[in-house]
Amino acid sequence: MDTLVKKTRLSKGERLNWEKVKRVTPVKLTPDTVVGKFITEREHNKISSNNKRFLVP
Amino acid sequence: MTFDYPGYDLKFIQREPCNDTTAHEYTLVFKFFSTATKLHYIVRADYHTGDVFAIKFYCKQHRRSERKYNIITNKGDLGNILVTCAKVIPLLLKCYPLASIGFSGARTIDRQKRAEGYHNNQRYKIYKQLIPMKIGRVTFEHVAYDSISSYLLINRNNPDILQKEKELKEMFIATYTDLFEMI
Repeated sequence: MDTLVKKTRLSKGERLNWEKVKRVTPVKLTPDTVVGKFITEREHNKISSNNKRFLVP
Repeated sequence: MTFDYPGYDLKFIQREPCNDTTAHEYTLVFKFFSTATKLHYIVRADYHTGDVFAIKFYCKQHRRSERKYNIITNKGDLGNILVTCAKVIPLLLKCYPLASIGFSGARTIDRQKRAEGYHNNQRYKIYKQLIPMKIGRVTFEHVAYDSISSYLLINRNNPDILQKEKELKEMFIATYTDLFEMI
C-alpha cells in the first residue's frame, strides 16, 4: 500500500535559496566596496508621486 | 504601495550612554504600541560622532534575542509600524537640526535558520520605497547603498555633501565591523 506523502509549501528561505545561518560568513566592508547612489530628484519624484504629505520636507 | 498610514504615537523613554571606544556615543530610546498587533516596539536612535543617527527598531518581545533585528514578527500592521519609525526623524531634527540619518535593512532569518543575503534584502527594498515617500529632498540628500542594504539621509545644512557622505561612510564602516556577521 502506498504511503501518503503530504506535500507542504516550501518556506520562503527554501524558495529563495537562502543560506543556512552557520554558513553565512561575515563581510568585511571597505570604503571601495561600499558605493552609494545619490537619489536624483527625478527618481525621488517618481517614487513619491502618490504621496500625500512628507513627514520632513 | 502608498504608505498612507497615520502611524502611532512615539514615547521617549531614555538616553542610554555608550561607553565603548567606537564612534557610537549614546542612544535615544523610544517606544510605541501597535493596536493591531497588540505588541510593543522599541525604536533606538544611536547617536554617532559626525552628528549622525542610526535608526533601529525591534519588537519588544524579542528584546533578549541577539537576532532581534533579523526576526520576522509576521503579525501584520507593517505600514503603521514603519511610518511610526520614520516619525522619529522629525523628532530628532527638533533637537539636532544638523543631524544626518542612516539605517540598514537587517538580513532575515527564517524558521529553518536560513539567512537572507546582504545585497538588496527584503527589508531594505521596503525602506527604499518608504523613505522617499515620507522624507523629502529639501532637508536631506538621499543616498542608497544597494550592495549592503543601507540608506543614508545627509542633512543639506552640511556645506559639502560629498565630503560628509565620505566621512559618514568611513565612520560607519569602522563602527559596524560585524554588521553582517551571523555565525
